[in-house]
Amino acid sequence: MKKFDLELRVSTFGSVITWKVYLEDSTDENQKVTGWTPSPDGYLYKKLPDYQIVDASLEVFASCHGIAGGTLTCTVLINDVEQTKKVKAKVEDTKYASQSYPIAL
Amino acid sequence: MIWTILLTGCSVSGFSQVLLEDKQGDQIANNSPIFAHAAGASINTSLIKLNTGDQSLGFNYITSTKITDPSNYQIFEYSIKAKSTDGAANVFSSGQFSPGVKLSYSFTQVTLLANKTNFVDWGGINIGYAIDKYSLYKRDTTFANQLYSKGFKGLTVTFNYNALINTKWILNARMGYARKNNYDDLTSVNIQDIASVTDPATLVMRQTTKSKTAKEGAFVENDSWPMIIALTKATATDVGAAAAQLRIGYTVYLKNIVSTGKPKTNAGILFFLTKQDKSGVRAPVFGLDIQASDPFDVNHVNNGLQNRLAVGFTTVFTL
Repeated sequence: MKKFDLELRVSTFGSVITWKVYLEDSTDENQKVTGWTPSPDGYLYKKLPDYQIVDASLEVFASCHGIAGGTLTCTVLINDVEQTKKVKAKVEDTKYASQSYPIAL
Repeated sequence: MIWTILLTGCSVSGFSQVLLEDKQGDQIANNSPIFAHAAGASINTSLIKLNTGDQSLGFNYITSTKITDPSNYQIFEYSIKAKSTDGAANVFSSGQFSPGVKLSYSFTQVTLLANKTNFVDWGGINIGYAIDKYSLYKRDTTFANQLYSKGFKGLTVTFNYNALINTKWILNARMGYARKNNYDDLTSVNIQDIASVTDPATLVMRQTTKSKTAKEGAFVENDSWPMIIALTKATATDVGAAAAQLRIGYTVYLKNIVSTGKPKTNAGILFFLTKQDKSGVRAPVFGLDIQASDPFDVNHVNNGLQNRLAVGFTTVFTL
């Protein structure tokens, strides 16, 4: 079991009607991230302090739907450190975009 | 040929919204989720709308729960629209003002049935209540009763279903109930009351003229069932240099109102230019609307399709 402070930042570009971000399992609705907070810098964020995972890495999934050309970018911060890998989804994607973040604690 | 200008005004705060209305002031499409701003900005928005088609001035307030769950949210819209039922021109030319007010509430659920890669849908209900006062003229009655006012109260309840198909095509369908009247179909008459006064000393006659516009004919209220179907070719978001370019999209629509009389049908196509903002949302900034009333001449007016065409311009301004 690994515990850390997790923060997700989501920004969209274009006419994105709906979007989803899942942690760990994209088929489990309980893992869908909701209750976002707007930032003055133009993105939505969700802070999950003391977030726990059982695996060695954190999996983040994202998808979006809307007018052609629309995109979503999810930035992951682990213990206040911004990760270089970002989850990027397009409205044209047929599968969830995902990234894996090894947790070395 | 009738020329109308439709101006739809929008506020910003990172949100660009266009409410497509036809010449009668009826909303053609519920595309509010399309223009919802990118993540980060509040969707709570106030709009001021100026529609010179029905010569109304309106105020809209829109709020949403999108921030809670962007994959399953609701949009609430409250609006009030005011106009002079005799037209704005009469207000300025003769000070004649017959008030008309419409209060509306709409609820939109995003999504309804599907939220898949190539198909996203949304829909809801719109409830409106109009209170109008009309000026009418009846020549075959006593002089004092020829010019009179008539009040009208009309409830409108419509349901709409909308879908984005294959990230490019937006299908809109709307149907329901509306209490209507035939005021727009009556004949306009310009009435002049002339008062004469003769000066007994000089025998000079002085005349004063007072003008008023009214409608003549049998005023009838009736239940009706409007149905609107529209298909929009959306304009894609661009990156790089192409983002600065204007793109052309279009909406084709068919509006049919079934009532106890003959059905009223309007068909139209709206070409629009879209401009991309910093958030990548392309919003219409100018449009050309060509609408044909009774395109198949069901009412046998026999005046030629060209004479039943209405051409309008649509533009957007930022407050």
